[in-house]
Amino acid sequence: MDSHNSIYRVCYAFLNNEEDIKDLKQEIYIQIWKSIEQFEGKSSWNTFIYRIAVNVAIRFKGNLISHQQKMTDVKLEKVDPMNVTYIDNENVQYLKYFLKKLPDNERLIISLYLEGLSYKEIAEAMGLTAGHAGVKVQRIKQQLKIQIEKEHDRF
Amino acid sequence: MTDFDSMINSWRNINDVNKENPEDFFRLVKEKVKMQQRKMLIMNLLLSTTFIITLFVILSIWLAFPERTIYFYGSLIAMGLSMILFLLITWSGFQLKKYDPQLEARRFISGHKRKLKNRIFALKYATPAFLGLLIINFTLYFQDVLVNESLTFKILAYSLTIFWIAGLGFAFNKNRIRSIHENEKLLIDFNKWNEYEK
Repeated sequence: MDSHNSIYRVCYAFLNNEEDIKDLKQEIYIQIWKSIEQFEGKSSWNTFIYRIAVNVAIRFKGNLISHQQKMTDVKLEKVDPMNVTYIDNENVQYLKYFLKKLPDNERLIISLYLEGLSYKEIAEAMGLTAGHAGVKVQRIKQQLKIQIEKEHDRF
Repeated sequence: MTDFDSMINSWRNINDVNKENPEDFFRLVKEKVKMQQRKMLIMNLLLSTTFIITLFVILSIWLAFPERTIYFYGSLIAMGLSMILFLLITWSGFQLKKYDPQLEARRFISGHKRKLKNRIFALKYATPAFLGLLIINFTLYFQDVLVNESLTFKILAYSLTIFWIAGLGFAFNKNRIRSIHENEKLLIDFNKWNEYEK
């Protein structure tokens, strides 16, 4: 696994603002560093890292929302257009557009699926049962496929 | 290949757009970790100061009541010992001397190993001893203050206190055992690392 880019992609799927993505990535690395001592070996090292990433991301976004509400009373999704990550690939842009519409937990689940994690690994990282993770992934995939078909029909 | 598969492929080719120098990033993370360790040090120092003040209060109570029973003084000693033990447990998880894992890898590992051994010892022996001392502390104190109370009240006071402390011990025991295992596993890994080094 290319850990660095993989963690970046999970952050990228979860947040929109490049500065926030950078901060989240740092927080994840710090937490991984601090959590090395808690690694039990019950799951693979990769799953352990993703579990940390998921937990930090959820906490990070919670802090971000409360901070933004305190400072400007502006909703999180209203990001500075000059500061949004732009990746010049139609597929990526489309996927990102779709991800933005999903609730946080589903966005994280699908981002882990996109990284190639099995249902069992997604379940471990998200604190779900493997069955539940599988159902969620299938449902999100289904929604995405319907969207793709709709787009095809339009053109 | 379906559209969805092709999307997944494109997604997996996203690379971090922040072309940070890994050294700079590593330094930043180390700085943040250092800041958090400093925070932990301050918290531990504050806790220690509070405990030291409390120990002085215990001493002044001892001096203010020169004619109490042996149980009273015994309970004060047990309380003082349990507080000292609690402080030792708190500090056992703190590594005072920090080594840079990049520059002093060997020292970093041996420092961590020392800390892990201390923590394992604290979790295995000091924590049960702390709870034991708390029970002794209350038992002795009750012997002094409940001397004129009815047997029923004494039984109630003793049993509630002991059950409460034992309950606390029981509630945290699972976490304690898990922490011991985690620390032991990591210690084994560090030892293996040393073996590779030879």
